[in-house]
Amino acid sequence: MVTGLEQDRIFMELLEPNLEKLWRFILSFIKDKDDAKDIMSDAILAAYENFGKLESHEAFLSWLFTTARRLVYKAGKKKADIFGASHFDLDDFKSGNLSPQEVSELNDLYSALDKLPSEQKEAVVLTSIYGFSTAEAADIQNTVPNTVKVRVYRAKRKLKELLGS
Amino acid sequence: MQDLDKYLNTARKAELDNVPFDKDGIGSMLQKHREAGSQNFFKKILSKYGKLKMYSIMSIITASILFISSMMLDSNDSNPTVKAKNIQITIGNDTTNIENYNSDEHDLVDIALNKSTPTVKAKNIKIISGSDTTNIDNYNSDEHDLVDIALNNSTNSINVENTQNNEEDEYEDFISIGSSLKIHKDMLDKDEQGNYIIPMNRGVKEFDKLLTTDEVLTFADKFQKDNRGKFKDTTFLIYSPLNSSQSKYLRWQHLVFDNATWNLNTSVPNSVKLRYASDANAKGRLEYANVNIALDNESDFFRLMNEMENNISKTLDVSLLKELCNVPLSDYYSKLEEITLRIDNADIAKQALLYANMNRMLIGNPFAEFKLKDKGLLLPQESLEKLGFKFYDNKFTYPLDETFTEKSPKFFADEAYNKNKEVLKNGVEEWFINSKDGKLDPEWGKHIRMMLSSTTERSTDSDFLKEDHIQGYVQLSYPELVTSREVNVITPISKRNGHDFGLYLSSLKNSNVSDLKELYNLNAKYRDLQSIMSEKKSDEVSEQDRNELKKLELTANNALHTLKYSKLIPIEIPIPYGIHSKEELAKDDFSSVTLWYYPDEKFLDALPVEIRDKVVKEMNLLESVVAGELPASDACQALDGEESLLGLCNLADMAIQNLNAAPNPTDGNCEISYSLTEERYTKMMLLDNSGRYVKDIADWQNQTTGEYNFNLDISSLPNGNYNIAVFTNKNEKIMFKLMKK
Repeated sequence: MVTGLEQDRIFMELLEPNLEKLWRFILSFIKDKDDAKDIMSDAILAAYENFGKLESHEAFLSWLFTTARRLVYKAGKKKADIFGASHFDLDDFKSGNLSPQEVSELNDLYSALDKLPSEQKEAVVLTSIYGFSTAEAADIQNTVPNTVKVRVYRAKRKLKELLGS
Repeated sequence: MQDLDKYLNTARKAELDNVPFDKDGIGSMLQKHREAGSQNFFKKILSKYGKLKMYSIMSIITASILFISSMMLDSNDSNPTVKAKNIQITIGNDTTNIENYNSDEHDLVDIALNKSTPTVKAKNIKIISGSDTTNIDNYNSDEHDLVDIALNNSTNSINVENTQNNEEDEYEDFISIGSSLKIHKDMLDKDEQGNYIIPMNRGVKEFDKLLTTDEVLTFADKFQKDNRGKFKDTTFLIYSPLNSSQSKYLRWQHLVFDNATWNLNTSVPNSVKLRYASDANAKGRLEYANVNIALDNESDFFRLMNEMENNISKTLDVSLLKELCNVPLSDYYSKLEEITLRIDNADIAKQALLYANMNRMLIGNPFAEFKLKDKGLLLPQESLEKLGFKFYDNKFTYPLDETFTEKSPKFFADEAYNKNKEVLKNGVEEWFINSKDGKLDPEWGKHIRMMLSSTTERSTDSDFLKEDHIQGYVQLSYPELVTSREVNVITPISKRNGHDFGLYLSSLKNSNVSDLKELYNLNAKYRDLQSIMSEKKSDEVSEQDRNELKKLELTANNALHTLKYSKLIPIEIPIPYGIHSKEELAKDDFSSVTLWYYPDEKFLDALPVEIRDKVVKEMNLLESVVAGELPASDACQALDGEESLLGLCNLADMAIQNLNAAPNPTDGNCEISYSLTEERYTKMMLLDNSGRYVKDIADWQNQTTGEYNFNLDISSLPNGNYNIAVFTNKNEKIMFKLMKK
């Protein structure tokens, strides 16, 4: 049997490299950074509590996102205006990583993303930005791969329109 | 998609600084959480029930037989600590003994859960708290709350036994499927080992006949009565060919009909399916108790949909449904007969394929689907008769083919084709002649002409030919067209990433199938090159590669544009889940088929009002462009920003306008002219009818505002239709059809 301490260590090992991704994922849906922070800490705790139920560590990231997504939506139900554009500033990014132009591109992209239905946005964020496979994204979105593909397809078509103009 | 990819790349690259949590922060957060965790439970109870001090909370926590020989509880508001001796936890066969328990050091929940699944089931639980004893025969942690039971028991406010029995009765005949779904065992089948399995389309066997509205209602009533208690949250779903939730053109959902919800979804063409489903979640959609209401034509179906759309959340007009349901379609079901047909002649096969597609859709026969996992077509009797088959001895036989006996499962093409090509050919050609100019034989075409279209993902040659890759598709062989081996041309019944395969087929009616292959390869090549280049940094990419990519992109992607002036309206139809297994869905890109409709009067009538207006408006504009009343350059603008369904916006694109060629048709030499409203880099090239690159007319050059003329000599090229395409550096492009004769 895995002891509690061992479990903690594994959990931290899995979590640490993904903190930034989790933060960015939550930030793509939550307007306010404080709200996002709360949700993130809730997500980490929820993940920690249920870590024992996770069957395979390979699925950790998608499972973590599933948890986070649920909390994001839960927060959205309580407080409808919580969803919104996350406008990134240059300060938000690791220095030297992005040029000002790229930040502006990013802002364009995210404001375009905000115009999509949330499910489409989520699908495209998960697959095209985070590189989840369709099957994983489907798990996260609690649907079938087919639907995710349709969502991504529509999202991209719409994004292309929005960004092209 | 280039630009979008760039944006997404940036987004992938972006890494945020200032992540609010780091390793140490989380470590201490978790530490706090652990410390709080053992106390939270008590705090919750204490806050709920006030200051309960001296009763055995211990018994509450554990999930199974919890026998406490003696225990002692010290608790205060801030730091309740539970201490006990000789605790025994039994879950199933596992027993854990703890001699001295201290809630500060141990977490009983953890101890218990580590030995079992999160859902704890146990038999014969005995809860002893003080002098009270509660017995529970069957315990399920999902359904019971030991805390409640124990607390109520100690206050004697609830009769625990009764609650227990009621729950038990309700669930004893249910089988758990997954974590959340329970299904009555009557609804399940048993396999050979006696395990319960979920029957797919279980109800179809029982209900696959046409019902009148009264019958439907009676059935619905009876079904609900008979199965009361067997379903939770019973839902009625109406299955229709055009899915609502995913189609942007037609939307409707959840119509309230009597006391159940009717849902529209995708299934067989022209049919509405009533469906009872329990907890129809997206992952484990269960299918049983289906009623098919098939409508014999699209227009009636559209009427039904229209009606439903107008009646969202209201009761459906029963008389309409009744009227629709009375369409005498039952004949279809008895007439159906399947046959496997292999045709080895390209033209005939192509036509038969189109014919079969059309026929399937046109007749709207719910069972005239292509046979899955088998090579061949499943054709309805009418189609077969048109193809010259005779119904003989309860089998369809091809009259001239002596080799076809009851024992031979297939026609083998060489003989069959040689002997029967005239008959076969006449059968399909008759249909083709009739279908030209949108005029279909009414007997066949009923109301709407449409073309099955689908797209296909990029596939390499070998993938393309792989057996498992093409399962579920119509498959025809064209040995004549490729020198060394057989080539399968498929019509996927699904839409895949890439381009519209069906469109190619329709455009290639007069050319040959190798064009199609070439387009596939071209597209594959383009994507390969693109993916290679996207991995490189921009300064590593050679100019040559870039030009090659550009050329491929223009040719492959714009193959479609050659067809965009057609007056066909795409209606996208998602593929129902039922056709493919979950695994297949996971590995393939199934999503939907697109049907292309001729917008004739009846079709327009059947459209929802807002779309109809849009289509009519665009059609009118298109006509005035064709008549020369409206300059092509203004046509797109006249749409007021609405989405173009008929490709009106391809006539002119932003800065490039008035592309024209004269004389047209030409004998080889003609003059091409266009004008620019802004300064642009432009390039002009010649594409063939199916959009393949033929040659450059003018290479990239900077052009200022004004009119431009070019001479084009195509006298060396074969006669036929060509497309002139002009592209600019701002992603504008227009095309013009040129005919050489």
